[in-house]
Amino acid sequence: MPEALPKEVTLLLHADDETTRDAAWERFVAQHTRLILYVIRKLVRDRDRGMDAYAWVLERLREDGARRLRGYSANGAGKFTTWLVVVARRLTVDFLRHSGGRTQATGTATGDGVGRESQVFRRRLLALAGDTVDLDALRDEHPAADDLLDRSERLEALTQAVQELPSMDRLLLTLRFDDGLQAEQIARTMHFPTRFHVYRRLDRVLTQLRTQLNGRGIDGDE
Amino acid sequence: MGMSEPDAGMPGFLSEEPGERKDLSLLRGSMTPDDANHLDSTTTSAFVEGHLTGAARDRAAAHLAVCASCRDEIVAVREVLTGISTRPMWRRPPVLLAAAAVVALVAIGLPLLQDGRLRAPVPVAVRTPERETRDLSAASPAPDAIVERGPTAQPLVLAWHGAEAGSRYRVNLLDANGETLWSSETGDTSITVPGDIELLPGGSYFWFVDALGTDGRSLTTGALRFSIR
Repeated sequence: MPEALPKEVTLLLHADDETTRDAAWERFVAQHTRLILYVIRKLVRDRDRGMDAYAWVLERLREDGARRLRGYSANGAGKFTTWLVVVARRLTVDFLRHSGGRTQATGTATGDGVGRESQVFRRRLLALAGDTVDLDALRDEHPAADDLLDRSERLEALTQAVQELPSMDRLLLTLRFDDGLQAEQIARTMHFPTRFHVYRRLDRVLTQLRTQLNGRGIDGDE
Repeated sequence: MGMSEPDAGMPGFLSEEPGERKDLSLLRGSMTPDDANHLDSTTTSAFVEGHLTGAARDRAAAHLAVCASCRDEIVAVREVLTGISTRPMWRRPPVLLAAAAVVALVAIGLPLLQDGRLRAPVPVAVRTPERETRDLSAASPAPDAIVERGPTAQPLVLAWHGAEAGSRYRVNLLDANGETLWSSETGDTSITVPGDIELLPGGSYFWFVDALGTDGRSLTTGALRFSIR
């Protein structure tokens, strides 16, 4: 359910004339500037570029008679603040792309440089689920043909088993093993009460995967 | 679930380089990355808040499992919201007050500790009064309350007097060492502690609620102690 629109947004969307609209806009900006700047600073470290991004975000929010804000007012579900964080972040990313820059955020799920780490996490998943993988063999640059075939079969079986999981469990595995997020971050993102609930759920899902792999003839003794 | 978002007008955001995401394919289900389809801002914010349920949540999760950029976004937004609720955005922490609190702790607390008179453990994470508390206060368990817990006891309910309408609350339950045992978010002014959170007889625990108001202000009840009989 959408929450009641903040007063300053209601005033802005229902302003009858330019003067009232300007005043309402000023009020909106005053009310939400710090939140918008906070979002921008997560992506843009340079202060001047940050202020350019801020101007860009405000411009986009106001254009076409505050079209985006009207969109929230018509379809918004949940808190206005959360929605504004999402939109301000998207507009900042948009600004960076338009201005030829890259995002400078740190610690996000899938940023640059995660690729190598991601491979490590996939190996860990394979090892945890299959309980059968020789990590040294995975590091071997010239594995034997049998090993390659074996690895490929395991990977295929694992991929298949993962695809059959409920989508929330797939997301859980992806955040943990593909993106390498910490359990605490996953708990916050997926609304687990604590990180321990994340570990317990992971354990359950991995056990399920292991059972499925065993059912397909891939057991821990190979 | 809404996909894409004409209203958000984010052509740049929707033109993610496909190559960046194709290599993250091991765990993806039947949905393949589609540059034209991303979660819209409404769905994203609803997922972040935990408001999606049933089929809508499953569809969003299925997309997130295969879409690195949307995943990146929900994690980042969640972190921003957590950052807002755990640090004072709108006012500087009263440094002098915090310093005075430390001095008072050292001057008063240490002799008492040495004396053996201060028996209640102090949480490791001492919370300075850096946020306003005037509009938010705990209701139950009351400060220093002794809560009866037995095998047939009802689940423990934490309740507080809310801030303004529309506020979002993060509730935190800590053990005597200040370690977080459980934390959850709600828009309500009470919450039930899950049954699998063990509260041991004779143990002391702390709880506090942080509120994020619709205007972005954050408030806190401050840490409150209760014991289990």
